[in-house]
Amino acid sequence: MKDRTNHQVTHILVVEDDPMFNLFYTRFLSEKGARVSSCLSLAEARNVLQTEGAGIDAIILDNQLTDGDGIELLPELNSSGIRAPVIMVSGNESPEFLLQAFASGIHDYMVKPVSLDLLWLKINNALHQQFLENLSERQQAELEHWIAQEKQEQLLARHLFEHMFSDLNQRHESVSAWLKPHGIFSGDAILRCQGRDGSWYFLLADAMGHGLAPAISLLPVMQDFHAMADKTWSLDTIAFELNALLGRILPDDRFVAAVMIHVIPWQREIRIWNGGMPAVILLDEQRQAIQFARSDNMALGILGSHRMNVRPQVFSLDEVRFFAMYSDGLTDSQTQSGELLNEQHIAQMVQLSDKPTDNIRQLFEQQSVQDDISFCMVDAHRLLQEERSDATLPLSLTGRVQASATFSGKTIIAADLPSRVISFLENQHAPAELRRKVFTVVSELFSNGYEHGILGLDSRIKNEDDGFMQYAAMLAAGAESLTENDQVRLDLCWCPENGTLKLTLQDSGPGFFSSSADVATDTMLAHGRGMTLIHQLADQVEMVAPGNCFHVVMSDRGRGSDAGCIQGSQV
Amino acid sequence: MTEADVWNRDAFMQGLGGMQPYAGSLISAYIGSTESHLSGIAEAWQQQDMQRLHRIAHALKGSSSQMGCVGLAALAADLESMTQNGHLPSSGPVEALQQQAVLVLDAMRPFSA
Repeated sequence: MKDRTNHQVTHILVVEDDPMFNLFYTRFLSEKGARVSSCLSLAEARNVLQTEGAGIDAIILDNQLTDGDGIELLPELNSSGIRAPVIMVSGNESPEFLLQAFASGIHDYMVKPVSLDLLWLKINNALHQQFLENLSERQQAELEHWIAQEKQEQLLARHLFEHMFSDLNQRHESVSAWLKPHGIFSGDAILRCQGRDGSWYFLLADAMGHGLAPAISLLPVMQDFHAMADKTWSLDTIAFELNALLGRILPDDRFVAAVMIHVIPWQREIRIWNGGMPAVILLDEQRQAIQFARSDNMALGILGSHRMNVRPQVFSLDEVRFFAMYSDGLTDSQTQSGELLNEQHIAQMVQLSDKPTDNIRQLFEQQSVQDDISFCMVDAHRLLQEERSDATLPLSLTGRVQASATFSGKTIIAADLPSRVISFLENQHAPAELRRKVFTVVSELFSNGYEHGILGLDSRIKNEDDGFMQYAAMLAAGAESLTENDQVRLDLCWCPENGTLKLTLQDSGPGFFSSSADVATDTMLAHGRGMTLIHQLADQVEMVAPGNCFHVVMSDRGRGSDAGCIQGSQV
Repeated sequence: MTEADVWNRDAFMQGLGGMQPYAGSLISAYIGSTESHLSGIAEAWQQQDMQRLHRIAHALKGSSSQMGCVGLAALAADLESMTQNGHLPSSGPVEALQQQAVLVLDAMRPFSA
């Protein structure tokens, strides 16, 4: 079929055994500018169709021919894929025959005697309709191809979304998670990651809306949460940074509700920050719901930084074994039996079932849902047992490896001291468990030395209203004022034989105390909880007067029972 | 029967639209095919081949109506109808058609190409 807009010559096949009619049509159509193939029998018509079938645009067909009925040609055209419209011209007016002819696929019918003007009109109508059908089919095929390609791309993008940051698509003994999107993309995300200190972080986020837009909103949240968790940042800092990030990049009418959870094994704590999400259900060893961590914050991206409450709720791992979190899609969507779940239903389900995730999946699996649904259940005790397998030294070496470095001015911040120490230990094949502990200790020592020693900041500011913001502003101002006289020195000594690391970190600050009596109280208050943590993780800690130098001994055997803070001489 | 009933030449010419230059050729073609049909009808009647008679009557009905030969077309339609069930009780309709066809052909011959 030719494009009717490009003025190509129309090719018409005339099948008529009466010489007068044949001549009649042929002359007329030729006068109209068409190319005419004229046949006086079915046999001739079959020959022409065989050789030129694809190029024929329309067929004028008589029925009663010398060698058969014209109607016999119709199924042959169909099976040959020839789509030229057929206008049958015959003396037969019986309704039965007309029905049969139309059922066999003719486009139009004319009874003899024929009006040539009407015949020409019918030919043109048929050609135009055929052109539109071909155009529609071509566009339909293009559309289907485009939709298939689009779907393929969406599935690929969804796969990337699901696998980019989370390991929850694999089975874990300690964590079971399920996510059902409203469409192809999910505006919910569940993320689990481990910090370099071995602590665990969880994020369950629900971006406003469904589909691609909220899924895209979640990408930077997941990326930054993952990066900050890797660096073992505290939940308050992560919440603060994510809120600031979303405040910057999201339109005013968009936000991301989120639950962030930090499981810290050595402090036996679960910290939860809930911004606009349903309550996290906390259960004891017997799966009894003992606490609900309800949202006491706005979702991320709504409030300005100065109005943001970043303080997490803290629960004891000695009391809590399991926790379950979910998005509001779970309570907003009808189950397969038409029910709506509420918080009590979900609490009951997680208390009574060994596999609540499977139960929830079964409730919604076979149906479309009104909102994205996500659910995650964690056995915190089992989680902490999972990552203890690599605490063996790969090589039995004697001797020791020593390294020293001094950082001054703005290189103090750029150096990323904790990561450098971990890289050093990785190169020495130190066990992962030790590396995690060292990361925490060095992070705390560096934080103390830099923030409190060199910059002279007081952590207690953070406890005031708007304190977190104030503290962040003071940190930024302090970083700008650093000079060459501001220094941090680090000395490392690794003994592979007994898996022991000795490290000394000294800053150029004035120190914190003048007498040993001040140590236990003032340093802890002034420097937050950092010192307590260092004592918990290290075998030995020695703070050298006036408090700007620490000697620490750590090993993969764990903290020595008699280790403590020893006030000694300046190194 | 009037002359127009035999062959209405004006109606035929008007029906040609822009095809008037080909009128002579069309008349020749019609005369040729009608003569062939008449031979066929005689043969079929002689052999009592009603199916063939029916088919020829049908063809003659179409071409005659197109040419403006109203009387002949009507007789052909009658014969087609009468032979529908494979039976024709007398030769009357055949003879009437043959006589009318002779009149038509005689009227047309002066205009053939």
